[in-house]
Amino acid sequence: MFQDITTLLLDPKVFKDTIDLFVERYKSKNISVVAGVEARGFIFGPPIALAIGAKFVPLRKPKKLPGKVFRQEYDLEYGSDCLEMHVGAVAPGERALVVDDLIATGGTLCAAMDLLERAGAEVLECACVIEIPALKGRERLNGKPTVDSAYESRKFMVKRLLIEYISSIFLLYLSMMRRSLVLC
Amino acid sequence: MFAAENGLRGDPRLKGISEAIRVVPNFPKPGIMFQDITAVVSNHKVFKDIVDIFVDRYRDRASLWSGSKRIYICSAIALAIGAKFIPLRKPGKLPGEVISELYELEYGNDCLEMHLGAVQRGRRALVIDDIVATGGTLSAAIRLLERAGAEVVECACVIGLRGRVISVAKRKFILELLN
Repeated sequence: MFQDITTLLLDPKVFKDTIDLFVERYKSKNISVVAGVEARGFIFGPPIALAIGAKFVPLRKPKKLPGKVFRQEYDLEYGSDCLEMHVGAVAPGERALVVDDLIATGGTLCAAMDLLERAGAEVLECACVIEIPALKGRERLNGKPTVDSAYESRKFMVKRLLIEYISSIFLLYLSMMRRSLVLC
Repeated sequence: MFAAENGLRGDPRLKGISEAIRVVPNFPKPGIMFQDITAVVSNHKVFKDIVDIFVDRYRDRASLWSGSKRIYICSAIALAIGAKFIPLRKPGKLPGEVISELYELEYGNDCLEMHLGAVQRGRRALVIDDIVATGGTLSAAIRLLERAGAEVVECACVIGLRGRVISVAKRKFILELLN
């Protein structure tokens, strides 16, 4: 069952709300890199990067990025794939956020985190709009606790109070551990 | 039209944008000088300047819908001007019913798709892409939107390549002209 986020993009207010929620969470976390996973991570990542003052780094399928790249293979639900990142896009010690529209098995996000860590970055969190819980993707993210939320409607309206409540509970986990924030 | 000839001559932001564009020779094929836009979005100030320039131009044009093939910059612009964002994608990427348009590239052929029903008839649209070479991709994007009944107001691009014959009939707004 394909989770299609393009309907979210056709509603400017809902799209803005989605971005604003991420920005509120990350703006004071001293994040200098927002890495977006091809291709739908390129829709949500750049606006977040712009708003929090970070650079946007695309993580792409093979042979799309010119010049020298890091390359990370990973398993999909149905086969395997590969993600690449420019060498030099990220400096050692930079704090990074990974953005994608959806977490399924977690394979893509793991590959994304591996790429950033190979370049010496510290990955704070993975931010996704949608989760498919049955595929247990969060468990692949080093088994760390994850943040979740509920939706009011199929237009991905998020309960802000729930986000704030969960954020406060998991605040202790945020400093040195991997986890993912999933909006639905 | 080029930004420098349209009120932005001497704008220091254009210089920063130009300097941020990385040219990679012989990619994806020998003989091609690849204009790498990723260097632009990895520079926060330059990325913001690009979005600001486009937002200044399009903010007051109500009910604009924006469609884009290369989407590093498009969603940020759509968000800032309050427009609906319609991704235009390679075949097989968009779920559900689509309309398709074949076109010629500088170096080969390709196909662009858009969701059926994404655009309402009579709506005004803006097409955004990072680079225009021959205009083939932009022409395909325009045809897709017009087949759906939209009126394409303008095509906005970061980079235009000097000396190329740009076949796109619609008004163009290009930030940077490169060799």
